[in-house]
Amino acid sequence: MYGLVNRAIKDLIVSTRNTDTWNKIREKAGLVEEDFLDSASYPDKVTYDLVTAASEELNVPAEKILYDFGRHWILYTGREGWASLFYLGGDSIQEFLEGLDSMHSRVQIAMPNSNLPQFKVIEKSDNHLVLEYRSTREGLAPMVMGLLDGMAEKFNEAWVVEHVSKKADKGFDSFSLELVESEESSTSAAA
Amino acid sequence: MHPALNLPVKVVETLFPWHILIDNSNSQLVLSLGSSLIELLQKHEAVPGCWNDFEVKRPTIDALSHSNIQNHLESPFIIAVKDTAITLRGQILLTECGNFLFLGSLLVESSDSFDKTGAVLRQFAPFDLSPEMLMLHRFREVQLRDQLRKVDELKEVEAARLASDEHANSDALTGIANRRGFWRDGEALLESRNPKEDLYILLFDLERFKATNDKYGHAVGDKVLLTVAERLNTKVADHGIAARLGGDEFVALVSLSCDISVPRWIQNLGDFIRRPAASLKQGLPIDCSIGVTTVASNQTLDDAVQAADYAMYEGRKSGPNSITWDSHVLQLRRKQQHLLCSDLKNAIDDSEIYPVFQPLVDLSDNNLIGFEALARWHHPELGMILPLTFIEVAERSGLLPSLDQHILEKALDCLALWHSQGKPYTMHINVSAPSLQTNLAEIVELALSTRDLDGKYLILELTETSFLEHSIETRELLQAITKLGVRLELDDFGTGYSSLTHLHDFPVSGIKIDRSFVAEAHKSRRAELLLRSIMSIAENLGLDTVGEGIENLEQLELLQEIGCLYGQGYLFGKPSTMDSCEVLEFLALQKAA
Ligand code: HEM
Repeated sequence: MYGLVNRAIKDLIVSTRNTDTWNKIREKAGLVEEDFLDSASYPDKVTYDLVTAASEELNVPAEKILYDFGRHWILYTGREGWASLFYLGGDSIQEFLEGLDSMHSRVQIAMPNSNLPQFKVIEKSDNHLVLEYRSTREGLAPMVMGLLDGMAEKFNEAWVVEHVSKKADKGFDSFSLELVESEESSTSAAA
Repeated sequence: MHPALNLPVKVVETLFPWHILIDNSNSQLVLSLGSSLIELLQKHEAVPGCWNDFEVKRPTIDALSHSNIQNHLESPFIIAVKDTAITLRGQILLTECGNFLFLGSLLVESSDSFDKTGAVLRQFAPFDLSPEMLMLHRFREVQLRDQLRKVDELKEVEAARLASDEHANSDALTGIANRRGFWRDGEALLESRNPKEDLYILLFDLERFKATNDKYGHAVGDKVLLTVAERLNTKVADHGIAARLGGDEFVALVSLSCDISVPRWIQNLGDFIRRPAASLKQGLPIDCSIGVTTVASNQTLDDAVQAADYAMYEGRKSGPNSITWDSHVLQLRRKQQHLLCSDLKNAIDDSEIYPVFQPLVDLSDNNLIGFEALARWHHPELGMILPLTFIEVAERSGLLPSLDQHILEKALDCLALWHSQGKPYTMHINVSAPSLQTNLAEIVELALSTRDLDGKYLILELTETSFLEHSIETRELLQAITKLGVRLELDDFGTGYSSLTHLHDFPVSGIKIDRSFVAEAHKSRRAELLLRSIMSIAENLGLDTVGEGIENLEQLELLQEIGCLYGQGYLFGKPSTMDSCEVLEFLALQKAA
């Protein structure tokens, strides 16, 4: 994945722990570089090794690291100047998720070596969505949970997200999103 | 500070043909829009020319102020076109000449709004490339920042990466390139080949290296590898690259001038590698076989290495220290084997490969005592494939153990059937060297117990090559097998070069005298003497003896006279399927009578 992603992991660890911890994790993951170039593409193994090393060093399950990372990603991209792309994507979670593939395909124009996932939104009712997530990578569903929770915060919508089926069973993951009563969200869901 | 976008107005005009220039009191804003939107706006006679036609919804600023916009260059802008249901979402960039450029895309709140205009949403797609531009612009910034990061830091990272790269590309023990490094440098060498020289792949395989390791320990084995690597590298460095592919296999890719005698160069290289090494106290000889191929201009490295490997492998059959060149004949054979290889696995699974049985008789009374199971392959398209051919394919593709096990299972099925019919035959089954690297004892034990067969009815025939790389594990395995009551016999006895040692080293209970002795013995006095001395050794060691390839009565009588216990050959019957064995049994009985 692009260095941008690995740098966001570093940012998560440095901001929630400290630089020492990051250095330990980095060494554990067998990395030679102190930092990553956002614009360079690194083997996926680097990212996975980082997650595994962080999980060992912090004694936290890898799924939790991925979840935190997903939430952090929303914050991070916003802060690092990608925010406008977010709003281009839509004004509510639903709109945004519906436009996520085209947003990612724009990412691909700038970062041609990226391998981006696909999402499909199925509207069960006004306040119930099912999101299908397809990826060639393994084990990133917890990160998507984090991303969805992070987005709910960002858009200030109250969604309850649940991981309802796994890639191992169906070939893709799906998530159920249910809106709990909130004034702001009901207007955007109706839009 | 947000870096400025270097876009003079002219460029903006070419990049964004459908833009609206908004004149502000103190600055201009270029609104880039899609063609359809402009058309729509024109239709409404509402081509906006100033901010008043728009409403900036986000951020909540007074958009008329230049500094306000400049302070929000990082923010997403949502701009509504007044009196329409159309909003534009995007970001404003500062161009070098001080203008703002709005890059954004169109968002229509509800498609109803188009009904009123008579347009449909589809007409507005693609609106323009603004989001792409925005993304590229953002990415360009990221790249710039990456470039500006401390040069030292980048250099360090680069050096560390390089070091780890070297690490990944070289062999930890010998320091020369490993498989990965060889492929990386080799492909580069192929691309930049010197037209005045020819490229050659040389493949080296050390003989009996495993035995050296077992006998003298890994420290000595490692020294041998180091010596070979050093020598190879010394000679090859000026001409190309050398690498250790793994285990005791080395490879070199060399570019040699057409003016020199390449065969001699290779011969010298081989001699140099084989020189006894002072560092090896045991005075160990270094034996190695070499396979050579010229790399054709359209050939891939992969293919050339395979060709050299094949040549080496073929050469090794004729003895140690061979140098074998790839040839047309070898290429054909390789191609054929390649094709067969993919069929073979299925053939085993689908039972296209099955056993046939050749009778063994007791030479004292010519009674049928059992059978040797031999594998046959009936290929659905190619017909019968010679055992020699498919066994070699199996060997090269690592399928020998599966083949052995398959025949073992099938043959024991037949044996169990015979036993159930009250015919207590023995079954001789061939076991190849690679099977001795598997959990053969367990496989045999299970195969016997599931069929309720006693181990004493099974005889495993081993060839001498099985022992070439003998080790402690092999001996333990064979002992475990004999504990099951299963006997071991040495096949093709007399053709190998260290048969006697094996009789001593391994729990062998019998030998099968190679057909070449049997064929000659009644014609040549010398052959007869040889046969007699083999027989007396066997007798002294208390070993069973089986004469192979008995084709006529003279041979039979001679073997009987010198005391050979059992016999096998066309005289008693050709290998046949189980059904036809009924006839054989009948014939054998007749002969005995
Ligand atoms: C401005 C916002 C975003 C940007 C710039 C962005 C960009 C990227 C990039 C660069 C990658 C790595 C691809 C690679 O190097 O192979 C990625 C991966 C990914 N993105 Fe986004 N993304 C954004 C928002 C989101 C959001 C909101 C989601 C919510 C679900 C999401 C879901 C994912 C997932 C799940 C992956 C992992 C790849 C995989 O599953 O194979 N992204 N994204």
